[in-house]
Amino acid sequence: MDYLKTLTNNNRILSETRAHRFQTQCTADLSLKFALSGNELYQVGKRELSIYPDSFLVLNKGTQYTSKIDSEVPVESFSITFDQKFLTDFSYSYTSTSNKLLDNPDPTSYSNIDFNETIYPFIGDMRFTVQHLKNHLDSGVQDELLINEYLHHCLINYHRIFNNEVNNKAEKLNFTNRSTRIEILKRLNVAKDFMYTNYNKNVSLEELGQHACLSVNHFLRTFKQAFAVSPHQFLTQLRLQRSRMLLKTTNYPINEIVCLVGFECPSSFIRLFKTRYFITPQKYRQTLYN
Amino acid sequence: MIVFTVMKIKHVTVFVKNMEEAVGFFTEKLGFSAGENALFDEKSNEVPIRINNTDQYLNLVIDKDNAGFKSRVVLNTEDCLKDYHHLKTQGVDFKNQPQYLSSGLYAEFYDNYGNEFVLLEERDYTEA
Repeated sequence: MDYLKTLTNNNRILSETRAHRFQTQCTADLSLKFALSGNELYQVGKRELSIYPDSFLVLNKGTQYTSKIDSEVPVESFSITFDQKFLTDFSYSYTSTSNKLLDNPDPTSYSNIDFNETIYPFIGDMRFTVQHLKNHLDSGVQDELLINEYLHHCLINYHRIFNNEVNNKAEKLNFTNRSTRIEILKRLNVAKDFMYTNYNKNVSLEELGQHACLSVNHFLRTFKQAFAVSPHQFLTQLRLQRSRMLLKTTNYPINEIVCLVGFECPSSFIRLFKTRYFITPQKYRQTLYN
Repeated sequence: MIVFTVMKIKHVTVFVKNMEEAVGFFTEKLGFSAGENALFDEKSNEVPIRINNTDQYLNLVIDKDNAGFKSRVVLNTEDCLKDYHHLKTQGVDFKNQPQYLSSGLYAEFYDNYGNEFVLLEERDYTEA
């Protein structure tokens, strides 16, 4: 369903279903970008960021970007833009009510770090909140208080994901200096985004190291510290996750899915799938039909 | 092994002080319906309240001896935030804002007699 909803407090929600679209824009405020089905490619500066239903992209205020959809099947694109005042209010109420945050250093300083422009996993409560919000908007709900309630929770969920993906991972890095940890994680995230975007191609360690501006050794070691898996394992997990998505949402033959997600050999794909999900791809698909 | 007959919950008792007011709270604010056979006049001590067309009932009972029994009832919902918002606009007294648990999202509210109700939206986080 297509709509652009601008609330009186200037929060905006855009929903569009398109097979082809190409546009260059500048974000007015902090924006969350989702592709609820299919995939959408964003170009920010020299970085290409591709989002799928298992991930979302955060763009800071004033970022110029190009977004591209080019697909046989229409892609459901969904985006939320938060007004600056709404964000400030949120930070204030969120940080002053939660005692837990008092133990941590000032969390508002985190959000000031120009760090957010990366791909995050679209999981957990964020998924539920966005899905509920979309259902309400699709069915024509006009109650702004209700919509803002969901937007408020989107921010709570985003904070939690941000904390998990950035602060917690940075803490795992073995560097004394906090700003070094943040810088390294920033670079690792660039490489991670590259994997998110090029998961179905042959990705070499040299290439990842180059994107992260780290030597291969350094990259390998720090990646493993932060994400608890090697880049290769991370990529395999991502491919398996996306193959599962394809098994669920399409009726492509399994052999084709193997190639689509970047595996070379069906038998190793089946083996890896089974090790991770305790079920073969074929059986997984059957259980969904039943 | 002992084989039990199949047991299930008939109703959950909720002690109230003023029946008319209580029935009003559960039917008008929460949108439940008074059970079909309910006769509520001033004298009735028990009124069954049907939860959203299910076969589950709350049994409202007048707390005659002022014993101060309190119930805690957990209600499942599909969308906690929506119900929270609607109940709040109806003037229902919530203990705090909806909170996240490992099993989902919940919000707690009270009736006028100190009984606690939990709106729980269970979420399956395993499917990504």
